[in-house]
Amino acid sequence: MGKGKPDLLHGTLDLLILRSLSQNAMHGWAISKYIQHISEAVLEVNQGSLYPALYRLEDRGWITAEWGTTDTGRRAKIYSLTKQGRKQLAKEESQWEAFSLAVNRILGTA
Amino acid sequence: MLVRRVMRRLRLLLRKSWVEGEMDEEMRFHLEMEVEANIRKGMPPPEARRKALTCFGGVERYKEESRDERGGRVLDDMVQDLRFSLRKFRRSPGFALVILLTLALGIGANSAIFTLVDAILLRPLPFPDPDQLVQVHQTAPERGSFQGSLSLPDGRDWGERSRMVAALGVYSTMPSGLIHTGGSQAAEVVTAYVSGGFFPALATPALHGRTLLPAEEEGDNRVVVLSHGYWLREMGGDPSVVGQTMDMEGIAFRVVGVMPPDFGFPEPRVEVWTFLTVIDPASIPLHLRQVRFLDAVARLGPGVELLEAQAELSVIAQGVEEEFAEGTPAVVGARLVPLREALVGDARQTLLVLLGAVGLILVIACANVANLLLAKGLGRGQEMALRAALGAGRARLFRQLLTESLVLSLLGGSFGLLLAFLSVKVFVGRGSDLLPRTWEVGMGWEILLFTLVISLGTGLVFGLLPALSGSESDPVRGIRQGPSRGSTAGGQQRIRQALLSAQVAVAVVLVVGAGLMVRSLASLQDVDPGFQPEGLLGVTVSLSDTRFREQDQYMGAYHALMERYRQIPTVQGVASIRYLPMRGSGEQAVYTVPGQVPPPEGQEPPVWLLQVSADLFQVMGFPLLSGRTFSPDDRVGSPWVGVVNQTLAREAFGTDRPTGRSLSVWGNEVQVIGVVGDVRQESLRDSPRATIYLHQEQVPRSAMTFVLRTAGNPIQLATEARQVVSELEPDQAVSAIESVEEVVTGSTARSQFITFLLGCFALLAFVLAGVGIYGVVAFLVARQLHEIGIRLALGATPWEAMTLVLRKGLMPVFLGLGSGVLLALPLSQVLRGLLFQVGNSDPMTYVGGTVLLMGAALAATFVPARRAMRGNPGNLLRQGQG
Repeated sequence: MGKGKPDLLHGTLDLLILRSLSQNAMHGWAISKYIQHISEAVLEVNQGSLYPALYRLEDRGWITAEWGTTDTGRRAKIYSLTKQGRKQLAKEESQWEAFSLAVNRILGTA
Repeated sequence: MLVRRVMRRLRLLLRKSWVEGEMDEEMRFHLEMEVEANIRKGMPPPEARRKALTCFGGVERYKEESRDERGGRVLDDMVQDLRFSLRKFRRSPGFALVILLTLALGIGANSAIFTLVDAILLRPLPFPDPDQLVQVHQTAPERGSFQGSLSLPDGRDWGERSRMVAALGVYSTMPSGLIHTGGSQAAEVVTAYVSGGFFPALATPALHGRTLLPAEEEGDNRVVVLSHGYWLREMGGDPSVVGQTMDMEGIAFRVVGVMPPDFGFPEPRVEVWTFLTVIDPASIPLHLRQVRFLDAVARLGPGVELLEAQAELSVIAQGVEEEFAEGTPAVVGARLVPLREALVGDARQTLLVLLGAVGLILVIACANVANLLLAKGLGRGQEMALRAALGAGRARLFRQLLTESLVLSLLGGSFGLLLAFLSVKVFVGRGSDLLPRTWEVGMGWEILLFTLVISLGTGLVFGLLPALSGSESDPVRGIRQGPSRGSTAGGQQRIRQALLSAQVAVAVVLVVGAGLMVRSLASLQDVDPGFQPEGLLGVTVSLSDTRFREQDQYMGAYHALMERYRQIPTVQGVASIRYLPMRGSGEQAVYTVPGQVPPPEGQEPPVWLLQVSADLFQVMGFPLLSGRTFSPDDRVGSPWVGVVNQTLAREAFGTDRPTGRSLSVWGNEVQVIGVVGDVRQESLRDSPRATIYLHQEQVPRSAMTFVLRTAGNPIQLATEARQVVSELEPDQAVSAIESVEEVVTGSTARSQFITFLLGCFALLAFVLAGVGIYGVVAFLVARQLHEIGIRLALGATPWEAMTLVLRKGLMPVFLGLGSGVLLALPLSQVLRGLLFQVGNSDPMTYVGGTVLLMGAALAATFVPARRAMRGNPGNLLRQGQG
């Protein structure tokens, strides 16, 4: 993780992954790039935490993985959201909103 | 959800290489994408690759973390740890063998003793609804009797009048059984004589035919039920014997049934059951209410509590007494004891003592193995540190170490189970009459379960400490310091010393316990039986009552037999006695001294009567202290004369020379003609009882034991002695031929058995403690080599160097010895009932045991300490750095 970039809050990585996958099925590298891109390079996902997180989410049954081919014709493991994952995403999103609202209030910006 | 997850994990475990391959591929894909992106940004390919790799970080570490997240990790690790453990043991087989042996002995001893405890104390008796079965006693508190027996009429009345008791039966095996006269040679069969209520109370159905019916008791009562063993042995297991007849004492008895194999009540050796009412009233007047010597068993009605039934039977007992007593009725009652308790008796204490002892062995074994593993773990400090550095978490290391312990304990437990199986087999073959219910001893699933549980428990206990301290590895310090000095050595040293102290303390308890038993056995075997048993052969013959109705008939037969025995050249003397010592105390009676104020009725002092031939005292070596022995004039019809033992002489007359005085027994005046020294008639343990010896020509009995004195081994005479009987009295049976010396030593068999086992356990504890001490001191020396080297180099004498080691090694030993003695003092109280003439705090034993262990400790310390003393400083310094 580079300097000057905020550390991901513990637990937010799951939320970010679920959110990314809610648009499209993606492979691991694409997920990291997607998060980096959308956050305008503010958030950088460390690969070291990305894959353990993916395996964890898979074990909980929120995402599933399938081997497929990328646009460049490479074999890659593609993750997509399950029904349960969608429910979990909704839950985590509302939790996050409540949390960030509270933080913003404290900071006096809301 | 859960099921799916478990299934997924199992699949992962089974398809491990496939899953790993997938993970590799995924990570590679990620890297390649990164490299391509970098190239697109304009980096040269090598630079792009390097950047991607740095950016990605430690691939292996992420893989490891991913494996953790994937789930199924615990199972996966376990398989890995198991394989790793086995590989480790193969690499240091000596170490693994010592541990396995220690565990096998510790666990095996526990399984073996538990097998006995299970069969004898825990398993229900082999009868239907065994909890409803009770042993019934008559009590007479005024006479101090609380375990009294019943008479046949008592048993009948109690059973008939009680509403709470479903069935009540009385029984006895009697000193002699029926004599089977049908075969080629007359043979006495072990017979249980029972009343009609006996089989209904026990409620075990017959295997073939039926049991004895209450209605048969009077009238056509010549029926027998056979034991399974007798039926197999004598009838070849042919079911058609039911309904046929057997000749007993020349009379035809009808076989009505065969019992199942596990039915062995009241004793496992019983071969046939028949009615008490077949006994000739002329020989034993069983119809008389005051002839009370029968045991009683009863089945309580459904839902009836023991105390309720006891209260009811007490009222009934008193009612019967008031109805039938001649003279003033006494205060009587009933006492019920659960049958299981009555059967198990004092074996409970023996077994619990043994169970406690093996439990302590296991404690020592655990301490020892924990110490060995700690020592090994210390040597593995570097390995653990390396693993930690490579990313193994503390929990992971802990799990690995614990798995190793559990593998060890389960392997040790399996060997232990084998040991237990073998030793129980040997015990049942050899010592089956030392404990009750041994015919039921067997290894069932309970034993397997027990062994599994204690093996796992043991593994957890001895594995926890080493696992906790081993997994505490700090990678940097561990690797830097190298194998000889672990990072947590200071703490570990204290743990190891504490373990050593505990081990020594427990060893003290066991050694002291065994020591007490040995001292007690020695004093038991030192007891002077009061006569010379060496070279004596006892031949017990009971002449059947049906053929020899008249006294002079069977006395004639006895005289003829004695005469023939006298003619055997190697026989130096022949005599006869009603019961050999250790085989019966005699007929119990009470006495009064004419001319003295008689004690109140019911409180007369007891006395035991034994019929003997005139030369018995000389042949068996009873010392005649004063007066004379019997003469041919002392015979039936002449005034009764008796020889008393010293105890009775002093008790009744306060003198050793009461010749000419007399006692009143059974309404007869017995004139005292002599005094003999006290003989241990009941057992070596019990002090001699007041005894009167009567002349067998004056008070004849149809069952006697001939005593033959020879110069050599008396058993060599056995065949000849038996031949004499079958020649002269072909219809009569010899019920026992035995060496009297063996009878006397055999009477201490139970004490020998416990002493032997406790001795074995103490020896085991002793050896284990020795190994433990050696291990700890050797370890201390290894750790201090460097320091010792410096001291020697600076001019310390080798002796000073050794003292340094000895002090550290022996401190925990002394601590253990001290606390062991403090522990043994209260714990040894459980031995109280088993000890003979030795107090449980016998100072000699404590001092002896402590000194013994201290000697072992010094020896175990000295060997490694010498290494320190002998080395030259340069070498020591180099080794210490190693």
